[in-house]
Amino acid sequence: MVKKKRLRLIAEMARKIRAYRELKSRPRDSQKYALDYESMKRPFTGKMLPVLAWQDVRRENRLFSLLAGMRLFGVGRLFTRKSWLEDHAEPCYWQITKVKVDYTAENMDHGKAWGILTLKGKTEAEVKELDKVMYHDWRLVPKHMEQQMKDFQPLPEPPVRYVPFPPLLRAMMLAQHKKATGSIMAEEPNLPLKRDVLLNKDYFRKQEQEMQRTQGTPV
Amino acid sequence: MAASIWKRCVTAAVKVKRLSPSLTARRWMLSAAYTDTNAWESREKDPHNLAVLATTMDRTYNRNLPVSSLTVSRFVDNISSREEVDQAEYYLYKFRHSPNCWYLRDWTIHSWVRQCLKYGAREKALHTLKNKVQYGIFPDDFTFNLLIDSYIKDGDFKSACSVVEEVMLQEAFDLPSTRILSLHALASYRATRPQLTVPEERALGASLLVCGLRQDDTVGLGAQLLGNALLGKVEMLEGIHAVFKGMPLFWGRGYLDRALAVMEGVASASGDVKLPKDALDDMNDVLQELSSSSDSDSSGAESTGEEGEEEEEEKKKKEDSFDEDNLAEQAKLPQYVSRFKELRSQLESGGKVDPASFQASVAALARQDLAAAEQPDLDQYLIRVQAWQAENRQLIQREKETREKAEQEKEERKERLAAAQQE
Repeated sequence: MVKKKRLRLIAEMARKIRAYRELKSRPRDSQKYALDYESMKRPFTGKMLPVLAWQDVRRENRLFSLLAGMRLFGVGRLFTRKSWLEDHAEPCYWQITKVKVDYTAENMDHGKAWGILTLKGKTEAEVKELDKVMYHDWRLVPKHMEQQMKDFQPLPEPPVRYVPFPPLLRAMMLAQHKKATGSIMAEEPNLPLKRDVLLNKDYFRKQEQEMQRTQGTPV
Repeated sequence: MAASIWKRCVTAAVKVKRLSPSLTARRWMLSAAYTDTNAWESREKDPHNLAVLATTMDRTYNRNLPVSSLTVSRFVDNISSREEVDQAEYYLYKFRHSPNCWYLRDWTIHSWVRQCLKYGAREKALHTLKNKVQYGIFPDDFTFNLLIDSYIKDGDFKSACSVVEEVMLQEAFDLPSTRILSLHALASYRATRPQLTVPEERALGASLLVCGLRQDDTVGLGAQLLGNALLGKVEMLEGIHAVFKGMPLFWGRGYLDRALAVMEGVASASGDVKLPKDALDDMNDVLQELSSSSDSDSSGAESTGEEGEEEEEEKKKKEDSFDEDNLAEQAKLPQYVSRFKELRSQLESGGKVDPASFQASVAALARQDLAAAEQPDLDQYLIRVQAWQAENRQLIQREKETREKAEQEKEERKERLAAAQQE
């Protein structure tokens, strides 16, 4: 006979209080991303930046260092990153729509921003949060270059090529189809060489949720 | 102070009829109607006691609650002496470093600049403008025009140029009146032949370039040429990163190349566009200076071996930042010099060199276009003042409503407590 688990109310309360205090004492962006330029260390964690980034850190600016000196924190302006300028020949830029600045920073140097990304000339449809905002990599696109950047038309993508399935898999698919529907599959099953689905965190989470829904929890 | 400014406006209004080409200290640009404070002063006032507002704001900050932009705008509107200007500066700083910093209103900034000009605190306005990151002062075009004009009126072209630099950093050269005023300030400053350090040259070149890109005639092209030349000089001396860091400039190398492209464009254009002669002279000087300094650098490299440790480190750092592309640019310098000579002779033979100096052509442009450019600005400004007033009223209304609701809730809570106690 298992003894009934004791109701530890005080421990429960302590856990909640500890969680609340941890939430309240989260470091602000300006504390987390502060940097000592002499020793290239972050004072908050004590970690050093990678060596290949040192030249960039000395020469370039963070996004919010640029935004702090602009009207309305640069909402509606375009910003590129130096790494994109080097890697891609087509224009890649973010257009800022919303800014939440960390007001505890002395020079309003940190914060979060949201905007519309245009990678290699292809503009996305929805507003996303800018990532790598704290990297010393950002450049403002001056107004006289904005039109040049926006005018770029990317080449149309080549059509997706199809390839027949490997023979064993093809045989399995045909057999399954015959078992399920009773008729022979009319057309040859084709494997597209370009996967439609982006394999990221959201995709796998959705898959798990679907599986849970269809199969239910064990027991 | 307001009375003396008014008197100056009146006396100068008489002067503007005689178009004096001499550039004495009393030369001014905007008409009395533009700098008139009546339109601004005649809006409905909202008198508040500054001490009360200050204590409210201090209490709100101490309790870590956000201060509304309405309180700050009331504080700035009700400034009535020079000391209060300093206090307002402190509160603007605090507001900028609070969660509501995005909501600093346009009319607050405009009224802050107006009050500074009224109480003779122009340097304060310039200081807050230069430290706009800390104070959040981003004036609109009309306010910029007023500030530049007040400096030009007093012949203080250096400060006028610093204001123009701020306009350039905001890339706010949309109105023709702003462009004319800034070009006048820049041209007059250059005419005084000041000794410029490299960062100052960069700022001057950048302002000339960004202003000239928006202006499409002789003056604009001359400004573009000068700007590109100065920026090319900085690029040669310090490297491309020193040119565009912190400024809205293109990061591509070859500013001297772009300057020569401007000249080519003018030479091959069929219209009546010309380039001012002294712009070409200045570009010539820049190229000569660069080529002579590069010659002396290469010959003097051996003799600098005995310099102290610090200077060696500095030189080494400079050489590290000079990667191959910079050296490639420097190698192109003799090419640029020869191309410049060809293009210059081409322009002179094509009759496209304007003998009037840059400054004189800017002054001529100002005389022609400024009056025409001012009228739409004024109308826009009056409409904007109305819109600001409407928004102000709306904010006051909203504040009243929230206050009433809060009081109502407090009373309800009190009644409930009293009822609970009675039981």
